[in-house]
Amino acid sequence: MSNDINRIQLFSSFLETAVPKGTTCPNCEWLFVLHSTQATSLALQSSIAAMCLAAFGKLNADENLQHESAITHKQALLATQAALRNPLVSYSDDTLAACEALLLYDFYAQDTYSDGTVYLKNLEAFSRLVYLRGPEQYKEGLAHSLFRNARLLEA
Amino acid sequence: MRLHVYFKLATNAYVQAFLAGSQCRPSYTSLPLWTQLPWEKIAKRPIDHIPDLYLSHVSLDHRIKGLARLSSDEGRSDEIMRLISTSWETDRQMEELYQTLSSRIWFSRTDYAGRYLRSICDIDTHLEFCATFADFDTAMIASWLWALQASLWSKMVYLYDLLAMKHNQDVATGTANTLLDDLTPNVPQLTYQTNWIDRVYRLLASVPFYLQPRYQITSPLIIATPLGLAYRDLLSQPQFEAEKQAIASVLNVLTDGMMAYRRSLMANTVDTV
Repeated sequence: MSNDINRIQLFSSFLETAVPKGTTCPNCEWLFVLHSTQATSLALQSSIAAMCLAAFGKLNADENLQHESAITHKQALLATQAALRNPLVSYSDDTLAACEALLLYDFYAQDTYSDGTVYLKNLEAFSRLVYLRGPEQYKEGLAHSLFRNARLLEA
Repeated sequence: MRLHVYFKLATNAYVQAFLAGSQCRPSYTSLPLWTQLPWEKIAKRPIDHIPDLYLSHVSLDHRIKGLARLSSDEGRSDEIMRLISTSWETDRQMEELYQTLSSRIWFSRTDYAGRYLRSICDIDTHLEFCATFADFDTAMIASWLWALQASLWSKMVYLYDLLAMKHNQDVATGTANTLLDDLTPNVPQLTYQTNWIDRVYRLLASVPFYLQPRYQITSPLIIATPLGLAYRDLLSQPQFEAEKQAIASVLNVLTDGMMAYRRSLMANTVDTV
């Protein structure tokens, strides 16, 4: 229970700090939609936590937070990989959102001298997942906002 | 190649070579099923037209690259005419979208943006105006449109050059049986499009807006994409080397340097836009 509250507070602080206010831009909107829904899967919960910690670690140049975000990121990756292998949840909105949160993690946690290879591979996987779900899956709710952002990421 | 990753790649020499060889590729998201079905229940917002315009632009780019593969002169001329016609249609759509925003964009005649950029990175570009916007969404759409217009217009200039070159060849070889104006009766002349680099300056002049502390740390992800598009287009324009370098420097600053700069901004309360 307290872990849940901590996660929600972390995500709220992230939105307060890292996202332009009052915007409908696709890069940001899905985060607000995600915040208003209950993240239930381990993959999504840990991906959101990793993304938030990486952003705060970067913004504050806090090595402890960056270290913590890297540990959380490993857990998130394992959980998301497991979700992608599970036919019951692989095409769920939660799994897609987890992948998108992990992409944002890559953005915040990027190394200045990184060649972007990992990010590009993750982006490729994300695009493939968006495609495999099919266009009829994005008509409303979280899925629609995730798709709006995916189109911009495709650019 | 996804443009928004340019922010982390721009200054690496190896990557610059890679970018020079990279190609825009049409994506499944340009298929009608993907541009329409997800909006059956929710109307597209202005920003949702940007990926559509971008995809039209990618398709145009792809066809221009395909011109070299056409074997007959006649087929090539026909395709150039079709491409010019498509360009004007895309230009009209961009202008239509831009008109919905124009009352929420302001240009101040000040060298503030240039000074600001020079203060955070090593650039040699002097901007004589600064762009500000009523809100973040307007800024995002405008920046995208400027990058897309610069790209589209530079391609239109290229297509018109090809057309003129073809006509000159025909005249030289005595195979021309008509004047260029007769050959292209329905093709409007380029006017402001020839000054497409102005849109790159507008894009650069919008950067300070995104670096305001209130737009926090996500805005680099957003402005980096149109900057990446402009950067890639400038790779084939050696006369605009300074502008290309300016974008590369800004993209670099948008990563780690920006974070450090923002922290110093907050500490020293430096003025913002």
